Amino acid sequence: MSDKLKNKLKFTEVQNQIDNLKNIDHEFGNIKDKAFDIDAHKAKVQAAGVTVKDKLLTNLKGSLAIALLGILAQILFPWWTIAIVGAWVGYWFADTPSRSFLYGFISMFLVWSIYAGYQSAANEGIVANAISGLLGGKVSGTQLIYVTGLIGGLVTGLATMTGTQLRSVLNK
Amino acid sequence: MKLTKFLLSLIATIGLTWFLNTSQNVKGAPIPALGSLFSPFQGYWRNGKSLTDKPSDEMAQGIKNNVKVVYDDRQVPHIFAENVEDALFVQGFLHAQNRLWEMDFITRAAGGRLSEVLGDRPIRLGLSTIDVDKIQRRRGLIPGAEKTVKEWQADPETWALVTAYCMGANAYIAKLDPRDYPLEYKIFGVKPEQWTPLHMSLLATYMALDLALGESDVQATNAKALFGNDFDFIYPEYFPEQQPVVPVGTNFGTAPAEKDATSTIMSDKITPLSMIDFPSIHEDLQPDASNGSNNWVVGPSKTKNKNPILCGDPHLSLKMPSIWYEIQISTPDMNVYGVSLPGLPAVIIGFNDNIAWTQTNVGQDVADWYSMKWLNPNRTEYQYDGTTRKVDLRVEDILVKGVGIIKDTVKYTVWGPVVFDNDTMPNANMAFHWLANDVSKSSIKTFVQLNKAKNYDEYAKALEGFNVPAQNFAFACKNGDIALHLGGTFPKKAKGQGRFVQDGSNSANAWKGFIPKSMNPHYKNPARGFVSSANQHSTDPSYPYYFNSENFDTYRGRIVNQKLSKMDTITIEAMKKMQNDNFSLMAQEALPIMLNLLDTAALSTDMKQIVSELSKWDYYYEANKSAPIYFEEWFKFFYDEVWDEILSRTDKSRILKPTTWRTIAILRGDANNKFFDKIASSDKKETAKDLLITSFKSMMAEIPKIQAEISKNYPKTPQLIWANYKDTEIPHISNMPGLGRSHIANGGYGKAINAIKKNHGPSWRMIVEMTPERPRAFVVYPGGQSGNPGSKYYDQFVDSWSKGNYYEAIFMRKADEKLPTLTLTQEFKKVQ
Repeated sequence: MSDKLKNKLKFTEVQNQIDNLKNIDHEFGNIKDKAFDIDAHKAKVQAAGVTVKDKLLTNLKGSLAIALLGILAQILFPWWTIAIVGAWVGYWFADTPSRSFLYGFISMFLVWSIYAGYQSAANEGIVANAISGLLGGKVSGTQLIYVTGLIGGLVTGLATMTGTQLRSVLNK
Repeated sequence: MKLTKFLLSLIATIGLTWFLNTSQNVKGAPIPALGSLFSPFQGYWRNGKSLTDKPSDEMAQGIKNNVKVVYDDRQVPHIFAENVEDALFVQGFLHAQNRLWEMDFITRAAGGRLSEVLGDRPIRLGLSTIDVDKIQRRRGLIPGAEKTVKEWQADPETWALVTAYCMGANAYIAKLDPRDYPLEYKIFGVKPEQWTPLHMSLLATYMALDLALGESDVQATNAKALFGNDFDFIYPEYFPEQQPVVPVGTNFGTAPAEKDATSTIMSDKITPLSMIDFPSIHEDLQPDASNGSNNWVVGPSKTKNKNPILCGDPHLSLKMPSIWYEIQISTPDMNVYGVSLPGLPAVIIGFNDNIAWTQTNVGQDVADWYSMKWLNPNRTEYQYDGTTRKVDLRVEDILVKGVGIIKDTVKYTVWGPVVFDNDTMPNANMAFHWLANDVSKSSIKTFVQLNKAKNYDEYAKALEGFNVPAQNFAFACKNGDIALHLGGTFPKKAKGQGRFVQDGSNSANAWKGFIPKSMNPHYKNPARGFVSSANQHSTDPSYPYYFNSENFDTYRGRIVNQKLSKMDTITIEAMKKMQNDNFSLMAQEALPIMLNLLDTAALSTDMKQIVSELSKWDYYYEANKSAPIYFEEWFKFFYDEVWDEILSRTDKSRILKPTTWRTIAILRGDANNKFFDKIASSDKKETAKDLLITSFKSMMAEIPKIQAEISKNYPKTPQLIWANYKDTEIPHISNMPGLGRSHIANGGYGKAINAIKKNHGPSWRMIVEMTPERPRAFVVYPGGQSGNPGSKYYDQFVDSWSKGNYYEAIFMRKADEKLPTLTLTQEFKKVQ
């Protein structure tokens, strides 16, 4: 290795170190600036998906919102309003699109299948068996409860994902 | 990128939601909106009403006083009202509450409106919903139904009953949230409509279609063309052993003159080769030929308790929900119990404190075809009494779901509508004249009067207002009177008139008015101590008027009379046994002759085994026997070989089939008769002996196929027994799979008193003893009070019915009676 080359390397190294120091100083300044706004900082961290706990909290809140608003909407309005509820909740409780889909899906899957199962139990499964017979016996009365959950879950999950994506489009 | 993803999700969400909220059409089969259907907030899950649900009290606008309904443990409502209109209001409400889909669907079917529910799709062999709708319109049913409504309206008393009933039905429909629509509405994605007098009239039309449409004019004309002088030998109108409804020897009185008016009957003029071509849809849409029923009343002289006992079981197509809804209606001047037709007021078959009545179908032919002399290629002008007449046109709008409105123009002649109007079958363009389109249907007042009747005179008076479908009304009174009257309007006909297609260019071929109601066949308190009917001939030929049908029953009536004439000290238990009797007179008359003529030397050991089983058989169609299967199949093959003159032809469906009774009579009389000779074999002359051997072998070859079918339907109990072979089922009224009952095991068949066939049979069984204190009644029907497939009351009685068990009817006197079986009450409170 020639001296000239050694010198050049040394220079680059020093130069890098100086750059690093500059960066640290810059970031420190930034943190100092932002440190006054703790809530905003937390929000930023949440949005970036920093802690698992926070993410779960968002999903849980979203799920609950979908369940409660969804039930209310379906008592007052036609069933498809669950899509509007899903999109709205997905916008305000945004996670990654796939996670939003998942919590939307699970939430309405549970609402529809539990409510269907509850009504079916009170009726000793008579109506479920009738529908099962109508479908040629290919789906059992119990399986119909899961099919029901699947339909509600799919619509809501897709809607929640769409809401989340709308948010990321608008926040760009 | 983010935008693209967002747009994709948005499209997916909206697309899926739209798809799930819209009915789809997959290969002609409409698929309901799955989201609405599966949603537990509005879909089918809600129809599985909790089994502990109680009926809620109602604030009712339109009643004059409060009405109380008490339900017993079988969900039979006992209505207590201050007046008849209020009672019928509540009856309308309860019918709609329990049977809305049934009422709605039946009237749409009768009014040619199936397509608006089902869309354009095949519903029977080769027939689409639109085909069937068109035929209903072309039969002139809607103008006929409108005419009935006008007649109801013209009579203030009837109109008050009609309006009260409609208001009650509509009170229920109005408060019905779409989330609580009956299951079928959700599945088909349609809405209930207001119940109107026209709906009621169309429902009555449906009953008339089922019970008074039977005719064989084209088939008889063709048979006459085919057989020429042998026609009367093969198709006699009477036979001596007949035992008509009104016993031989009854004095009918003298008919007013003018009965022998001349009539030119087309069949007399056509040559043996001129057969009438006719669309097969005509055959396909004929009512079930075995629509029939039994009724009988044994007088005090024949019963153990010296009270008359009345028994009835009307046979109809078996459907879920049942055509009947059990009910008690009590007002200060009426207290009646029985079955009602959802969609129409009053009790149709039943009893009150003083009398009991029950119907069977009369079945006389009141539908005639007239061949027209068309004067132009469009068939809008025709010849009539030497003058030119123009048809009247009526445009029918048929709404087809998913398609829109299809228009159909129907031509009306002086006789009635031209049902089949086409260029390809020139002689099928005939005019159709049907009594039910001429006269008021379902005489609502008749039934209300019967419901109130206290004695024979009031019963006979009530029947004067009854027109169509004509019924044999059996009657019993607490005072010991028993009677049987034919209720109905009957056309006066020249001899032979209406049996064949008639010439429509001559007014002389019209009916000669109607038989006076006082001349309708009837009898009261006969010496033999009982009255009975089972759809056989109404009278012997001494009756002063001509009437006809190719479909009078030849066996059940004779069995009933045979049994009753031998019985004494009759009890309710004996009557239960008799209603469930599976004895076949036909087998008793035919089998010994058949076995006698069978050349057993030509049979294998297996076959001899069957012969031995048949010869030991007691002619009872019991559920667990195999002999009835062998006999049925053997006779079927034998019949087909005897009548190869008809059955080997491609137009066989348009030729009248000889009756079973006549076929057996010919066999008994002359085993070498020329009709036993097979037309296909010109070199050999067959006799009955030859046909019995070949048909026996055909039957043996059929048994493995039957066994395979049984093993498929009854994998756990695949025995070759009658119940498995018959395989009784009760399909849903709109033929929706899974909503009916199938593979119901029981005995009986069409020619036994217990006439349960595959999907036809006793639609209601009732036995009433008119005791001096309170009528005792035992009843059952194949269904349940609820029309909701999601209710345990939907098919509650089916198993009891199938086993021949009964329920004792709770005939209440007061609304506050305390009985352990009275479970719930519901109040209808008047609103000012």
